[in-house]
Amino acid sequence: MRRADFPELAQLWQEQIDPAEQARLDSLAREIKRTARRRGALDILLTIAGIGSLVFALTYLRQSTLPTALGFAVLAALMVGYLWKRRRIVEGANALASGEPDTFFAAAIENARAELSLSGLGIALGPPGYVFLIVLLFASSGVTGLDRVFRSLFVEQPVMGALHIANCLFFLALALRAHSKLRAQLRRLEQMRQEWEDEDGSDRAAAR
Amino acid sequence: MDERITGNASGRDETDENGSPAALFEQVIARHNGMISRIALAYEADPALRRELVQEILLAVWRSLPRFRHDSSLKTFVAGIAYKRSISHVARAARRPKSAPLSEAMASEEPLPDEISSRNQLKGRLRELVRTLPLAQKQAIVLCLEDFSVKEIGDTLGISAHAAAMRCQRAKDALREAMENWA
Repeated sequence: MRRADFPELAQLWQEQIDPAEQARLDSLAREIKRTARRRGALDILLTIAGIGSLVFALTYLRQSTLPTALGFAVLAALMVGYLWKRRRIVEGANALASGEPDTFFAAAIENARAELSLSGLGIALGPPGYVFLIVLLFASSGVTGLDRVFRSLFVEQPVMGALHIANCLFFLALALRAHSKLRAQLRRLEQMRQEWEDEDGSDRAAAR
Repeated sequence: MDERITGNASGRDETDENGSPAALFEQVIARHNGMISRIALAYEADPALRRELVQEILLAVWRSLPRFRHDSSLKTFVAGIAYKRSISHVARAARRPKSAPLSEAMASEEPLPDEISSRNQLKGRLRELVRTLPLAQKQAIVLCLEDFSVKEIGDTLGISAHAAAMRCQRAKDALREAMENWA
């Protein structure tokens, strides 16, 4: 390629998307306000579902003994805290695109680390939290004591017990998979920042 | 440095960029949607994933337009969002950008006249080579190919115009070498 060929390459580059594909992308762009509204509505629905779960938990609180009520309150507080932190991370990820370019990698890596920590916390607290919830649900229906709960689950209703174990393992597997993807994402971001810094070093060397 | 990347001094579009975010978004669709699609093309080879990436970029632009302060051109603002979203996309996919599948545009079931066929091959090769460049050079070369001035490239990437010129030159050299090896 001769240097004079660069405008020709630019011309070739600007012809990359064929007209049919570009028409599809243009129509995607015109739909974007609707997509944004749909995502906003989904957010509202999820919030309503969260509030609904809390209201449902409150009905248990009213029928329960004080320790059970406190147990539900702790679980609800943990859940709200987790969701609030998760929302902050998603907002942080959305804000990355319009942030300053020179701080992009630092902010993206910080956000990815926060997401990884939260995911680790979810994995650590998820299974015990699930067991705690089952115990609380049994306690609120009058079955108290771990031995009675386990007998009820695994001797009297073994199918139900197996379903709970399968449920717990399924969500744990999903969480572990997501955690491993987050770890890979963080590694890739760090590699890209390194590439960026190497190039920055070459810019400075060339300027000297 | 070639004239194409020295560009205008202000780095501002000459067209009117005032108006509400909705009006600005209409301008983005009318003037810069092709650029968004091509930036996505440089980072994602899979057509379905690329459409997702374009959608993510457009959503990010739509959300960010209320914060557009006119201290740079709309084109620069949109390109900055597009490349940052693309990097997040590549990081999430946690893999190096793969090369374009042959079916993407180069291959056709209908036999093509020689000239069109060789032009399509050249386009496919250019696309592949751009994707395989190191990240920082890829960012610079894509903006050069999009006719950005060095000031606009510097503004988009958060580096000085001088550094942008250096980086563009290295990216062009790398592209030149790769094209020569291919030829």
